[in-house]
Amino acid sequence: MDSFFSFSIKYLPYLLEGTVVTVEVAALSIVIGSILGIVIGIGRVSQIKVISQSCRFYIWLVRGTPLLLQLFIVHFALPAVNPILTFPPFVSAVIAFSINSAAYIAEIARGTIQSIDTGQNEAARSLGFSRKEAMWLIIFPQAFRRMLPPLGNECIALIKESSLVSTIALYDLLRTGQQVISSTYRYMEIFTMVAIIYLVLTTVMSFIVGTIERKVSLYE
Amino acid sequence: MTDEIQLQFPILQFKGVFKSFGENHVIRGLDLNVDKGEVVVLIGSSGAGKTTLLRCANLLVPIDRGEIIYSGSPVIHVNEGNSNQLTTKELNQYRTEIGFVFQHFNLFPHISVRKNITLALERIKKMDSNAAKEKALDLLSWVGLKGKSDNFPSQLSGGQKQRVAIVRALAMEPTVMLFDEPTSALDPETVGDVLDVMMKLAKKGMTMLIATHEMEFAREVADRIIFMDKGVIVEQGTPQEILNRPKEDRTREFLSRVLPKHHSLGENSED
Repeated sequence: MDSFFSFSIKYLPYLLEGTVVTVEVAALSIVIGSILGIVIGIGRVSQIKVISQSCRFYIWLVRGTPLLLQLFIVHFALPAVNPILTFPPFVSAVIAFSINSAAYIAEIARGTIQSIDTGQNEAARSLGFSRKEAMWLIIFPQAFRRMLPPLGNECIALIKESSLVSTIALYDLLRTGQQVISSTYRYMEIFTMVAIIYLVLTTVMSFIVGTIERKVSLYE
Repeated sequence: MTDEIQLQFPILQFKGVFKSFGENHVIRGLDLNVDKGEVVVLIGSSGAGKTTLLRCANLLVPIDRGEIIYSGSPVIHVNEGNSNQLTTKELNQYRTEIGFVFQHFNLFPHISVRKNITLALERIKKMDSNAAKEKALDLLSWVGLKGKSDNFPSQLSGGQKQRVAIVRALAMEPTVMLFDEPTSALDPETVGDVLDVMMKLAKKGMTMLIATHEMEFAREVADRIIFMDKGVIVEQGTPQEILNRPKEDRTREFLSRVLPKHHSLGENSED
């Protein structure tokens, strides 16, 4: 019997390949999801009813249904609607996770925008800035700083949730682990290694979040 | 010729202004004219409507009824079921001419002191960034904050913040400046610096409408003091008339609560 250590060394390169996929899916989804989420979050506080209601509907729909179901709809149901909408697993994963995280990030954006003191808007308006300018020059930059820590937490959640992509045959960290198990039958060792790698990813991420939190609080 | 005609108008006029928040009637039929270069101080207890009146003046809050006129032209006019006000663009332009200083400063915390001042100059007045910077530095040294231009607001004391806020409003070269209890949120030892700056502004001929609880300052700076209670003007006159010889009981009662004991109130004095 190999020791756990030498066994790990042997299979680590495979698992690291899967890790790269996991990180790629999470990173791309958080970037796309943030852009989408911020737009929806600002739309949510719009004075124009149609816009705010549409954004509210989006958030309600996405947050109220399981992520796994959303992933299946993108990967399996869309191609049935129209073959043009057939994506490789990686693309499906990024689409589904972006759509999903956008809803949560929209709520983060809305909350932080509303947390900015109304005096900031009043000061901007009293200087002659329009509503839009006040939002983009004064309110949003401040709200964005406050968004960073919860965005980091969203990123941590996404790294873990991305393990769901193993169900659509994308060789992420978890799926790669399962593949190694299918030829070695070393369940405990492999799953332990997979767990350790997830822990390294999320710990690094929370360290980054902590650093950002300290930097942000300097100005407040 | 137009100059002569303009001189006939007060710079800012309130005509029969009403404002309520739900059941709370804050301003109840208020008339007020402010002349160019005049320093008008609003006194009265909290809830008298001073702050709301100032906020109505630059339409931070819309009025329910009445008229506000700036330099002879209507800013807002509301009567039974009929409301006219400046277009959004005109309103933004109007606000650049009315400087507002807030009780809680409302400096922008995410940008430097200098940027707080130059942002509107560059974006709204389309001023060249070097010229805007120079202007900011000049004004900062005028209020005694020469070395603070690169600091962030969080690094300043309350009195320093308020002086920056005054500079931010002043840099836009407003015709009228509104001060909403500018020293109420300050530590006592920094109040003087802010009042000094306001005094200097008044001496330069700035038209000012000031809500304050600083009676000694009011006495010194005001051309006219207005005592407000429950949303109406109870009494107005020179500092002498209002602070030394108030005619109305309500004024007397208010002053007896806020003025130090040694200031006699005409015949009513117990000394």
